[in-house]
Amino acid sequence: MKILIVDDSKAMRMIVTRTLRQTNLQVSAIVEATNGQEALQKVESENPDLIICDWNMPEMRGIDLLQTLRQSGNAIRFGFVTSESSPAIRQLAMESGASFFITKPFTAESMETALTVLN
Amino acid sequence: MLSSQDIEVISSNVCRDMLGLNFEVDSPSLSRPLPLQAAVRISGDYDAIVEVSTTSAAATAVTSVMCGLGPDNIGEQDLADALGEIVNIIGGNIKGALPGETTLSLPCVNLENSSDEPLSNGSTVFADFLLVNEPFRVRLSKSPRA
Repeated sequence: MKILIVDDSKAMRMIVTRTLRQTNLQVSAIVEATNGQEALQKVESENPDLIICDWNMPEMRGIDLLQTLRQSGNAIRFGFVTSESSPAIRQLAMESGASFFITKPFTAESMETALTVLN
Repeated sequence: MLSSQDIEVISSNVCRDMLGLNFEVDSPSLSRPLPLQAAVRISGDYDAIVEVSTTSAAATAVTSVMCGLGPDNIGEQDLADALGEIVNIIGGNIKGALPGETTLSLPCVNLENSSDEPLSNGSTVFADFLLVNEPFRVRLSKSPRA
């Protein structure tokens, strides 16, 4: 599975990458983007199988990225890893087409549990 | 307004449980200014600023763990990124515990020997910790309404 990790923090992209490697998810490749706008370009150029995305980013937020993808007919699997934890934001994410919503701080166990929806 | 104990729990979940860092609650001591500072703003039904402040040694150690870099390979951008992400996660969890609908800003980081004065003059609650045996403070300051 090729995964696109979208987060404006390099440190968090590395943490997500390391945590993914600790799960049972079969990861063949990881590509990165620093915001939603850059992620749109990477979706076109890299054709990932899954997007794991932060919520708050400069240029384009994660929710705006998801809604842009869905409005264009792109059904790519998409999930959030974010410090936003309010029920309203989680609901918006799921109603917009996210498959999972992981709140920071997370562990390998909580990430693995959330990713079971992909099976 | 949250309590210092709430801040202790949130900060421990981030620094100890997620990042695996050596992290413990310390005695509060505002007389000890800390030179590096990162902050996020909470806006909406509740207005506040969440700040973390610490030493260069702690920031370097934290960045090394988060980024998988040796201390000699860490630049200012890496420090700013790591501190910014820590305040983003702590701030996001504090925001989640506050009433009403609110938004969280992107983090702002000051690596240049800040005064460590609160960024807001409203009521403040804080907690002091030892992060990798260095002082680390998390402060929640409510913004006074205009």
